[in-house]
Amino acid sequence: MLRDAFFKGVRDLRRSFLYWAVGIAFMVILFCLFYPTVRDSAASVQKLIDSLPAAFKNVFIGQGVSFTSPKGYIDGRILSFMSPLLFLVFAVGLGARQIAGEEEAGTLSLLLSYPMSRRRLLAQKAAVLVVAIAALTVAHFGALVIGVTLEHMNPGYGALLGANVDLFLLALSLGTLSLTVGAATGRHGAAVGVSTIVAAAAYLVNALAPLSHTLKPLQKLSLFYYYGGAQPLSIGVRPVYAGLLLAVTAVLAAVAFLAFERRDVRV
Amino acid sequence: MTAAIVTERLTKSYGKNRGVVDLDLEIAAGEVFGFLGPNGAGKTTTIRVLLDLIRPTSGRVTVLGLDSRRQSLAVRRRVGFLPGELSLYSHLTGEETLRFFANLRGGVDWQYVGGLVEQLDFDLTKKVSDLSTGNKRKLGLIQAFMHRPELLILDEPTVGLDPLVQHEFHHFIAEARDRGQTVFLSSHVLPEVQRVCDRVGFIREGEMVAVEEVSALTGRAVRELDVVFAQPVSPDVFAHVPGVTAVSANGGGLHLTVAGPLDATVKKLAEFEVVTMTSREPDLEDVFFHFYSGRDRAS
Repeated sequence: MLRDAFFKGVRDLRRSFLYWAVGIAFMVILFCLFYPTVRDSAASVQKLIDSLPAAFKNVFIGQGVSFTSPKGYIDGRILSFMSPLLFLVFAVGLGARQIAGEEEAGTLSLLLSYPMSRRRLLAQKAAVLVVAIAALTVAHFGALVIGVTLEHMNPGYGALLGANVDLFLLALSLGTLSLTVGAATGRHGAAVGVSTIVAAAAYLVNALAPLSHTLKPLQKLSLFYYYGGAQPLSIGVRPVYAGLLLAVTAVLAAVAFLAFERRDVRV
Repeated sequence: MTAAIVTERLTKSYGKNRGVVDLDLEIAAGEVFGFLGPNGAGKTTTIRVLLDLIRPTSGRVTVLGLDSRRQSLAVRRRVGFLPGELSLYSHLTGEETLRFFANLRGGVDWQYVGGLVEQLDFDLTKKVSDLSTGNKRKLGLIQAFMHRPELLILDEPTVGLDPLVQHEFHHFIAEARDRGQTVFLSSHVLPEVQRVCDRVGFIREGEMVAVEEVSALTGRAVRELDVVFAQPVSPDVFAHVPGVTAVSANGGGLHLTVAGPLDATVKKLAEFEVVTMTSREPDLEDVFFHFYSGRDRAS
């Protein structure tokens, strides 16, 4: 299990990953179990939602979807806000730990005194990030399948899988941003800070753009726009957008390799 | 034989900090070289350049005949490194730590590692977080030695260790020399370097001040003596004793600075009734002052 930096990285994650996976699965299933209550009082729930200020509704529930339909409920309750939030915390924290965390802990110097190029180390660290987010997505998807099956929500398993792939790509892009800032600066705080600000701004711009002429043109710069506009199940996955998220990740990763290769490692 | 380490006009400048300036260094294969200087003089900076952890601003560096930047991987294959501020993975045990590092190297002879562990009387089953400073450093030493590297780079290996463990470390280094390994060790205490090294380079404020054979140094060692007499003794009595470079009244006794052999001073002291006498090694700045101030004036 300690064969190289990748296997060690995966091994280091064992316990905390279990907590994350169980916690997220629990949340997803719980929300699904709550659906019949909403469905059975659809009219009054919809009325309540319609009475909310538009900005509030867009940020916390989703944009103009029918909250009481199965797809709308899963989007509004799970996929548009809660899941991305939890995935981002996980991915950004993990991304920052890979290089910057190790550097601030003081172990990076010793690691790089071994015959291992920085490129190889970074590749192994990035692989840890990809595998961990993918595994968390599998847990998330599995919980959704259980939840919708229990409550006979039938949103279509293909659409559900597509939404999860999108969630994976979104989390991967922001986790990679965190990894890249960390690899370029060696500072854990900067990596978490920058990525969190970018994520929050992207979310808000996407949510509020339909209400504001000023923000409207910025919506296409938001990563969430390419995550099915934060309603991946209702709007559906578009391969072009998924490809775009992947391209952003690839560019960020390339920057990480270039910057990490050139700079001085801190004591 | 190729020199183990050569730096030519090595300069590393950080924004405000000095780093190192035009450092020339040549360390022969098979010698134990002490890199001596106060904290912040540039010792760690130099070491980090050798390992390609940081990149020189200018100058050329070769390690074991290889370019330290372009052939860094080949260099690191043949070097063992003990960092000054040693950080290890606190959640791993000693054994897991060594297995991990051995896997990164590949081809480590586990029997040999077992021998090192035994020699240092190290407990492999404990977690790193449960180890004392001395034992952590032992683990660091084992990982540096485990692949029988040609060159060992040890950054302040004994700082903060109790004398017994320091002694073990010095013994360990002496054995490495006997096996023909080259050792480059940094330190900020002269006695340590005198004990284990063949040659010593003095670095101060990023510049190499001098390189000396240790044997040449010992003859010129400087000591501070505090002597308390039964009756008051005038400082003038010692002013012209050979070797005494400074003398001053100090409470009820005298404070003497003596360079080189103590013989003449001791014989002069014997003429009086001595109550107590303490001798201590001067700090590095004093050593620099006594060794090089005269030389600067002469040149």
